[in-house]
Amino acid sequence: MNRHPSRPTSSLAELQRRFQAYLLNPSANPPAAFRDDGRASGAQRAEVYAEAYRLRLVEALAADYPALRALLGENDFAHLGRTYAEAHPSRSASIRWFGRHLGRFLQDDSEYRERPELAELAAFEWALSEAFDAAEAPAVSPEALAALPAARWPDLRLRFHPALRRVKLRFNIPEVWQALNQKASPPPFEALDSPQTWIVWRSDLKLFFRNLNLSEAQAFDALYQGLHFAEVCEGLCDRLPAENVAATAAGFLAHWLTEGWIAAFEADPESSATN
Amino acid sequence: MNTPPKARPFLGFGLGLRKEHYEAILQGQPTVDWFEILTENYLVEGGKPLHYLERIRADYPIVMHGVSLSIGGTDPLNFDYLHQVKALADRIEPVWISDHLCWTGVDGLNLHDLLPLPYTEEALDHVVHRVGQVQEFLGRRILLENVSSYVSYADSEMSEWEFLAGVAETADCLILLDLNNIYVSARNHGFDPYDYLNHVPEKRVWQFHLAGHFDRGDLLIDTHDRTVIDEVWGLYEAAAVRFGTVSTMIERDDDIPPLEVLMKELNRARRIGEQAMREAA
Repeated sequence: MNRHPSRPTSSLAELQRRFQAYLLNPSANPPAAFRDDGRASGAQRAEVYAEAYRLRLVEALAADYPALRALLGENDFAHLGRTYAEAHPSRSASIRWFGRHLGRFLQDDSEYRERPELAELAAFEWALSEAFDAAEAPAVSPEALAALPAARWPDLRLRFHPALRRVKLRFNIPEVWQALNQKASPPPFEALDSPQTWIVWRSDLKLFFRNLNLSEAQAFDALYQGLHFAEVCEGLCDRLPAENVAATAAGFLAHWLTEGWIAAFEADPESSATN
Repeated sequence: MNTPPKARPFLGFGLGLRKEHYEAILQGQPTVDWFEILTENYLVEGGKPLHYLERIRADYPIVMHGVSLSIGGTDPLNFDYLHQVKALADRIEPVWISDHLCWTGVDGLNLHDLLPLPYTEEALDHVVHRVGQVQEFLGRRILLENVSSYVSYADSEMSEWEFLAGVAETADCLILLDLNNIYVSARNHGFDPYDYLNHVPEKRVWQFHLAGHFDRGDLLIDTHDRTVIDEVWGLYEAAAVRFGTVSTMIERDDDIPPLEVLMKELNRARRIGEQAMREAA
């Protein structure tokens, strides 16, 4: 889009690259492009930007991860923020999305991967932040699904609300989060015997979360992937007596409807629509 | 879609819309004439931000103020971002859309800062060309704001006000004049803020910003976390005399006080501004 396509590496672009390289690497020397004067040297002036750059990103991260920030404390969180910013500088127009890789970063980075509970707490907080401002959609009413003829139930498929998130947790993360959120001292992290499925959702602008038992989680996972109700029931037969399966699965659905989790359903045997 | 105004509208005295004040605004219907939103805070799909924005928009005029246009950046313009800005504008019908005369990153990165440009002919041509593209895409003229700066470039060939005036006149865009930023940059670079004020083309200025800053001794830092200082009020008075009825607002981004505290500061702006604008008329 440059007015001078024959000069793609203009001196302006070069100047911006050098300034940016300095801001990204605090130990580098600032470019010699800046004027000194009696008030401050070019280097002291450039440092204002270098400090502000990191401070702003750490602040943005703290807004999305308040519990992680409370758990780690100001200094350790700022260290995490600076390390993360070096690994994942922002590529989004909005700083809102800067923190989206933090969970994965904590999982993979050598400094943090021995503490997998941190990555899980981050994943849980990110799910909350996504549920906070994801798209709005009307929820299907329990009556609408009740009107579906019995013969079409096997072909039933669901589309979940766009502000619903599913998180698999191997630690007592929501319990720790609750304490930190209330500025109380958190209980110790405890590893669970098996991973739990938690659903985070929004209703009337408020955020909610709850966990699913193993059967409910299995049914949820299957419908979340776009499988039909008949396939869900088939899967549940490994876990439940066959004669109870359909009623149990229908009970899960009824519960989800009252919680506003379902944005649409269809029960057309010919359809191959996906979530 | 709404039709952008051709002549300068006077919205009166406004505030930056901050989430801390959503409920107070809806419950109290305060006598704030208009609100400015930070565009990027509402480039989301749903939830509280858009809910409150739409309710407040029903009662107040809104203008959109962005931080990510990077009009002076050397990457191609980010049309994904511009599409989002346009969609939000179609939804809330702002009186105008503004951003900053700066760059924010290069090679695909966003440093989320308002970095100053060198005041060169090359940069001027570059910005003018891009303003043309943006205005064509949005179907309206935009306002560009002068930023606070801590560095100046050895390469600069003209003053900041010559650069700003050159961009506005050549690209046919408008100016959001931040009086605190003029003051901060004047102190940081040793120029007279009134020289700046007197060289900004009168008809281009559609909005004033007022804000507080931090004096760290050697340099002033543009923090928006405290009240407007007397020297900036003085500059505002002179600006209101020179430019006349220009929509005025206070920006507060950190250590945000209750709405009634900001209203008191806004009333000071109203007293000074109305008096000076009468003199101008």
